[in-house]
Amino acid sequence: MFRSMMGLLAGALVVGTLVGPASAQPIHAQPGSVLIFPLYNSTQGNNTVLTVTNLNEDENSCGNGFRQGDVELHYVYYSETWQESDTDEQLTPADTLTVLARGHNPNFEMGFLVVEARDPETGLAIDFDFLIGSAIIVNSEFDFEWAYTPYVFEALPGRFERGLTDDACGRLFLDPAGDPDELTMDFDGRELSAFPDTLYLDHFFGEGTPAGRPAVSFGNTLYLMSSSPGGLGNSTNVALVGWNNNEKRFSRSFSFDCYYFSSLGEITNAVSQTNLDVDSDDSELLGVEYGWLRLTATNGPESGHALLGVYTDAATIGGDVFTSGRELQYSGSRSVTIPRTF
Amino acid sequence: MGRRYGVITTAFLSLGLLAGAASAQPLHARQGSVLVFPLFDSTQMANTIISVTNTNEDERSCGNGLRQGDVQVHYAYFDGATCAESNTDEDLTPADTITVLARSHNPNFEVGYLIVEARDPETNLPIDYDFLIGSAIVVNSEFDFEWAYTPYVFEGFPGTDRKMPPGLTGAADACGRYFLDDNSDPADLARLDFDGWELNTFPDRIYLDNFFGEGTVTLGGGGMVSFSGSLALFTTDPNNLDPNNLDVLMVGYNNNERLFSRSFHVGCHRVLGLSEISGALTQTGLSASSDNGELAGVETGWFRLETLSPRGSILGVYAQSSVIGGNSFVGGRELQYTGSRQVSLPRFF
Repeated sequence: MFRSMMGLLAGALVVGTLVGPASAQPIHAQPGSVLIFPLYNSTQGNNTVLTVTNLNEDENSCGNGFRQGDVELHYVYYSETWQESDTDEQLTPADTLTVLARGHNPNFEMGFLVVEARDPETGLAIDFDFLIGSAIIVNSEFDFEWAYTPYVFEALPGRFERGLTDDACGRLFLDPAGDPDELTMDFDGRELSAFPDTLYLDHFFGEGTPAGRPAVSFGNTLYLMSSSPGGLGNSTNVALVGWNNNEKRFSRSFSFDCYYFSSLGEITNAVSQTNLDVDSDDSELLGVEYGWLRLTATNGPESGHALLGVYTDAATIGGDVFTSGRELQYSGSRSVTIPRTF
Repeated sequence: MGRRYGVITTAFLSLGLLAGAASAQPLHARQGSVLVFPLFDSTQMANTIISVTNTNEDERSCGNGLRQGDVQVHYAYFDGATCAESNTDEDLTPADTITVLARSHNPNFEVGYLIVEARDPETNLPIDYDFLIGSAIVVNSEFDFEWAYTPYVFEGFPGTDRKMPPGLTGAADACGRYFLDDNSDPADLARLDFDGWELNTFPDRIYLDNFFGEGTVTLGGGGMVSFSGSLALFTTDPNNLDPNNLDVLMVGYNNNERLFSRSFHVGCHRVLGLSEISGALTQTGLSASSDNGELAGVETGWFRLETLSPRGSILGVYAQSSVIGGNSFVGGRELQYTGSRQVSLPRFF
């Protein structure tokens, strides 16, 4: 593995919305050219096991010292305040690389991670839809807490290839050579799959202790990343709309810059066992109150704000804490851009 | 919630490969008309929390006492050992969600897979209703969470421009939701066709992007970690019910691209440890020609799986465990996939 490391402070990066058809949504559990992990945590007492695997097993030579399955991975770690640290890894055909976030990005941060496929010869972004990955949230190294799989973005999902050239292995570059467009990752349905429009949490347990199960106390954490760094009056505004298990609706708006994590109860008290109990169906699930919700950035579809996220449940029983987590579900599409670093 | 209940035992299921256009793969983390959960476990000392949510909030009347967002959800639990099926229905109103414990929802103390299908509440027939999402939390008894995953999602009429399969006339229920089948054809109604027309296809290959080799590792600081992995798989080909049939091929690599492979038996559904599949999936097996400089000397790898029968396909989930100082830790997730295969599964009423 070859590796280079640089750190950048990018407090005011140019992020915007592209005009054009945004059709292709991100995909999930399938290979792509860009993986977005909405959470890594390498703060004190936390760590994250991050894996990226190259499904391309092709060892045919490209004539320039590389093989069809060789690829450079560009890791960009974004902190909660959009501070960025990046590094590269070279993967050979059928290679897999698992790292501990704390060692890979030794800045003891939490935030989101973008991994992009690049041509190992030129260092430029390419169409290489062979990457899959996963993240395991741990306490220190291998004491697993919960796991999720990243959001996946295919390159050239609409196959708009006019004007694009390819590398020595015949993989198309995502941008015309020397074009200023190289400086942005365009999640617009042309260069890369678009971001989603709406996120869903299909299920959560109401926070607190249910009347029917006094020995259990439920908690949770929601992690959201925005495609915009925010700040300077440009915060990401979010509408949360939820329902209890008897379709009693509630809603709440909130805002954040770049990255957000909190319990659902810090967003709205409607998610507590007590408040979900109002007009609920107590005959379900042993009287434990639960619901579901959706989240949408309300800045507008052309504002450059879109969301991705993961969620974890926690149950405390007799002093022991049990956790499980998963990615949020989604629908719709939004065109956004994120700066590309070199 | 309304609910009816039935149990059907099927030692051999009628499955087959369909002819026609197969394009759309399954989806993940999105909405669909059919959700496939590769694992529920309601055996002794285990349970599974299953959630299904109806994201259709439309309360407009359909004129027959139902609303646009009303849907019947048909649960078919398949026992992994025998492929015996138990089913039940739940009626969801607009924006409704239902969470059940598998042991009480299917009180047969089984481990296997679950298929959830959207149906018209009036006629009980399958409809194009791409509003369902869901999740599963594997627990020890009730709420002591172990790990979670989201199901594989299949849209109704996923083809280009959402065209219907040849022969369908666009018959719809009172709410205007199209029926998935020719309701006058009992054979068509008796199966879910994952053919890219009626529903998305199944995948061709599935992948585990990372596993820790089974066995014990001494870390640099002297601490000991013992890793194990549990893979839950189901196949769609009934021929694989032969216990001597090697029906799945695993091809894997260690972290230095050293290749290994193994065929093994799954049949209807099977939960198995990695070392039950191959000794190559252990810390010792992976260490041959590995890159010891990665990840504190812990051996890792990845593999792909495919059914050896061209008529079958496979889906699965994986849980990774570690034991450190007598404490057990677990994290799990769904498997990733590529390609598509046309398969059908039996539909029960």
